[in-house]
Amino acid sequence: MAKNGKKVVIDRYKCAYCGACIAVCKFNANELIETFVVIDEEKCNVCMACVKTCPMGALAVVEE
Amino acid sequence: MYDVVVVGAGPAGSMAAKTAAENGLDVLMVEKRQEIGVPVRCAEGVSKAELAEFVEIDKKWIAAEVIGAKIYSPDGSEVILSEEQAGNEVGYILERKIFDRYLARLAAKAGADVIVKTSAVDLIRKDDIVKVKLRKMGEEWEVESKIVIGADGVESRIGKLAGIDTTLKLSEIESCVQYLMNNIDFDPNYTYFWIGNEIAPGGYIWLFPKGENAANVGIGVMPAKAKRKPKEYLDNFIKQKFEDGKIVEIVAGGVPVKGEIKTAVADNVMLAGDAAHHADPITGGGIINAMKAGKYAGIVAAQAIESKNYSAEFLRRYDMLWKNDFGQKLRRNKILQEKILKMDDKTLNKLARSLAGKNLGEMSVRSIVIALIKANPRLLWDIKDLFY
Repeated sequence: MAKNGKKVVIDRYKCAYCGACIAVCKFNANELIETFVVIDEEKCNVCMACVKTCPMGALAVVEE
Repeated sequence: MYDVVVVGAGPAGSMAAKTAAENGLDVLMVEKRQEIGVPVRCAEGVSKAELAEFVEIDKKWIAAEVIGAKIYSPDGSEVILSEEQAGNEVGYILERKIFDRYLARLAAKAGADVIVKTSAVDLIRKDDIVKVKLRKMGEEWEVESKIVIGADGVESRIGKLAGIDTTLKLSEIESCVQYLMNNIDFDPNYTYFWIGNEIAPGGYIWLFPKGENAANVGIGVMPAKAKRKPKEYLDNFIKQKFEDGKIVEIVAGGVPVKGEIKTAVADNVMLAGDAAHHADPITGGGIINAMKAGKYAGIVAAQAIESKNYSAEFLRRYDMLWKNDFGQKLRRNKILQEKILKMDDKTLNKLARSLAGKNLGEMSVRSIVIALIKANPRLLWDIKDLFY
């Protein structure tokens, strides 16, 4: 998918594994496995919904 | 082959599993976490009367009781909702860690199988039934079931796997952070709410007592409105109000505030609780609706098994049940929420001042809004029919 060389990364020291990022992802590009959020870069469209929703500020977009 | 697989062991899932098992069904409840009830994602407040309809109250999972609520507008104007006499508690603050386990045990006692540290990762419909792919500690296997009840929370995948789009927009979710705080001063008989576009855009800050000088102090903000993270807004607030408080726990969460969804069923599948966006768009409260929905889903599952009909068409009975019970309230409070979201702090202050000094009695959204309509008929004329 077109992502202009960007991707979403997670800061595991900040993540409180609440699942809010999963709830807003329309691409089903993330999953909360117990307390571990995984992001599927193939499916992710870098739409920023999860970044804007994360209560802890644990998600960010970086240049690849 | 199971009759019902319940995904998620929160209040919705455990009530569904319990009800289905009590009706003689073969039930499996799977929970993705290794411990039921933690990490908590909840402010833990619940109506005493409504909870008592489901379970015998056990002090083991009651952290505190309250008689009412105090609401503060941006300029500090106070609105009080409380029963006339003390000793007439209307609300409980739960200890969800213990409460959720208690409910799961009720489900197990009724005969449901329970497995933890296990995720449901796929659903495959085949003929009349569903194969549920489970994953535990890296190992995958399938169980067959006639019905799947998705009580898998705000991050629900069961709905999506079954073709119900449950993705929330940034205006349909509250992004929340909460601290369990010690060493703070407040009246333990009350829950507290602070509203305002500066302190909590699109949401509010709450304080729910959890015993002597301890309380859940948290915030929800709407990502579509908030410029910063809820944690920053909350930290600012705490610095001003509870500077000496000690934080002994951090909780985060997303609360669905979408309002009533069209349908919570698909062939072989029912959704309950946060997975079906059953939380209230105004209060964010979801425990009672989740328990109601779980119970209804369990009842309809039993009817479906008896009729050997697991089609979406049959399962619409479940939609009817939860919608008749609390769907109208979700609709009403969604409209109210949209109305409030448009108000600036000046308007919120004006509304609060119009009620200042009055005790509104009953602790409910309806009692506040009716008092507000009486005091500010012009401002709220368009929503009056929803509340009378």
